[in-house]
Amino acid sequence: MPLPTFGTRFGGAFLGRKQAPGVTRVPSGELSERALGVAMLAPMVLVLLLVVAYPLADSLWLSLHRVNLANPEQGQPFVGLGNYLHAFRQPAFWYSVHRTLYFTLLSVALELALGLLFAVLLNERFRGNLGARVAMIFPWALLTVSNGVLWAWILNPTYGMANALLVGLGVLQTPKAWLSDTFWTMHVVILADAWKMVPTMTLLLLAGLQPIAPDLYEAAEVDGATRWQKFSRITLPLLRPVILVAVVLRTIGAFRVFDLIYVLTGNGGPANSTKVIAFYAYDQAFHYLFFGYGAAISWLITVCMLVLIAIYMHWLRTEGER
Amino acid sequence: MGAVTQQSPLSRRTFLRVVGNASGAALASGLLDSCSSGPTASGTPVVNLLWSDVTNIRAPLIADFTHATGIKVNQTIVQYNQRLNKIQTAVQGGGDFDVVQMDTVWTARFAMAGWVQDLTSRLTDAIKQDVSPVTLGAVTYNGKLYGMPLFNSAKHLFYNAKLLKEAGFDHPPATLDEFVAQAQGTTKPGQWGSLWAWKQSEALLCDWLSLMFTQPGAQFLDSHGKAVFHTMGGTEALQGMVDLLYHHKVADPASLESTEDDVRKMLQTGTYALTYNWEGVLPEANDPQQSKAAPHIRVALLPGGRDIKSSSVNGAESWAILAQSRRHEAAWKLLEYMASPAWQKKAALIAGDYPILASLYSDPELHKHVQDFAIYGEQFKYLVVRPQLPDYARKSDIIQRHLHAALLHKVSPKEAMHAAASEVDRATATP
Repeated sequence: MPLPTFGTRFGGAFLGRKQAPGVTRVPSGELSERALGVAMLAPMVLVLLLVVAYPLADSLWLSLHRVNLANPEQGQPFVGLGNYLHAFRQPAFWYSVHRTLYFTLLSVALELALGLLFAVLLNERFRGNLGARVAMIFPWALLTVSNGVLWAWILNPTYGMANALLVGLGVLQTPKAWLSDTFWTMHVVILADAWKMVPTMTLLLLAGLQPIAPDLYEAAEVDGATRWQKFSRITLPLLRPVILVAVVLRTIGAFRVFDLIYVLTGNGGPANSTKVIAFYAYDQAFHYLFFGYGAAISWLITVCMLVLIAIYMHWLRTEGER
Repeated sequence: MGAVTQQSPLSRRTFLRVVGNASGAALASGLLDSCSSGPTASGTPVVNLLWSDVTNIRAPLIADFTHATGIKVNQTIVQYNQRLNKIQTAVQGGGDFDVVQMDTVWTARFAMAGWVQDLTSRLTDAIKQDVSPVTLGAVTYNGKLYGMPLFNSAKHLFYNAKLLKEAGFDHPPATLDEFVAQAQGTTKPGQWGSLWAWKQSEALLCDWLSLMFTQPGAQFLDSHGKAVFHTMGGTEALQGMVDLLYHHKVADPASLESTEDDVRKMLQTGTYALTYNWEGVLPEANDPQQSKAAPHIRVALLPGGRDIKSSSVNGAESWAILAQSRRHEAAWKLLEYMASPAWQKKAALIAGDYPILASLYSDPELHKHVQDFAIYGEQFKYLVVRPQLPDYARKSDIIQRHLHAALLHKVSPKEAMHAAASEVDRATATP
């Protein structure tokens, strides 16, 4: 007989189910289980409303006004969709969208390719598999800011490890200032992001690989299938739902990138080459104090996220129906 | 297997009630505590101060103030990077600060927003006589004083005397032409004549302004607030910076991704001859435990131009009284005490702050304790105050971006400066 737990009893009461026989009746004058449940949940619901629902609604309202905290004399006039239209007319806004898409596409592609490779390798039985899996987790467990600081040290032009290694191997004649080159800065940021996020991708894909029945591979071997054929005809099709989920989740994460770029470049430089849209929104709201405009940019980012989430939900539903 | 039951000595209902009551009490206590500002229960006057004494090294100064005036100071200490957000939150109703530490470039924004009090009428003769106008300029907007400088700060030339001597130079460069010559003489494989903080940041703008104002007639904005820097010294200064990188090849390309902190650390490797930086470099740079360059790092005035002895940027920080403060008098007493010789001299001795009082630069005790103290005092005479504009942050970002594009050889200095001026003039309307 299962032990009565807080969750089942409380949940039953909260959902208005009939009270099970044998449960002690609440003495008159005390709160019923249901009322107590509501009372106990109320603070959490209130906190969620205060810290999630209210700021969301307030920022939407803010985005419809011209708000410059540094110039209170101009008031906070209602401008409707003016802030959104202003954004669409700004080359800097579109440039940040371009930089965001570039970062997102490349980082997710790199993370997917490496994640798939590592997941397939870790799915094989070999000595030290467990150790390899544990080692894989380390970059993921690191804080993003720590990851940024770590890469800043690695890439330091004077005493960084990357230059020491490349000059030592003869790949470079002289040390390179990686973060002062518009081409290289974006790509080393992508590399640093991939280093941290590949484990996430690997774990998701590994979870998708493990339920694939070995019989399928054995049958393919009997039919004379090559390794590539087994991978492309069995592994990839069966892994498709997990790949879709992983790609959408990582796309959402990559689209919001801010902290890594902040730590590595400080200002979205050089020459704004890493000024992604989250950085653009941060500058407008917290650096220039254009809170209305900053809120509008944040909502544009949120809408992009909602579109990605809708795609994700649609895929999940489609795969579930198969 | 039969059901196992255990009677807890504390029923769930009782437990939840206890937790609920405790949380409520804690919340109520917190709320009450946050409301309790003003004089303490014993009647002692209080000032709430937000500043960045992160090492708490100036605690004895605060204690001295309390001892001298009987006013207690409640300190909130945050890093520089968090301070602006903290102040912005406070003025929107998120804090009860009376005095805040204000960066030079925030003065106009805070004044325009009405966040800080106009202190012009409070300025005493003692302060006027001993604090130079350029020092007070850091906290002046439209002719009104909005704060009191906490310490003096400027960029100086920090050089490796050993590397200069090895290259045949027995004195640091006094002019930019000499700077180039000495940087050329000290650049060789594994060693650079100069290193700069030219990452796309405020540091880059500071160096550009320092170089720009070595030219007679240099100007940033005209009397109508229109950008004129592109035709009045800015382009020539930027051309000089580009030349150091690509023509003379005496500036380490790592300059383009370095901050002042990076420059300070890299000077300690002993492989750089000449650097620009804020004061405070010498103690670490000449400590053999931390620096390979010890004890050869010295300080000098930033090089000047043909008719200008030197030019540097004012980087002072100040204290301002928030307009929302309910303890104006106590807050002003704190500012007044901070500007007194008692605070300024002790701050120099215990924290290495450079005094705002001109008279202290001839103080024998300070000369004894601080290496090359007179040079700092001299440099503070040649300061440029960055433009006091309410939207300075936005305009500075525009210029930084164009400066960096030229330094990366994406556009010519002339194109960069004209584009920057045009964009600065257009960036007037609020989105």
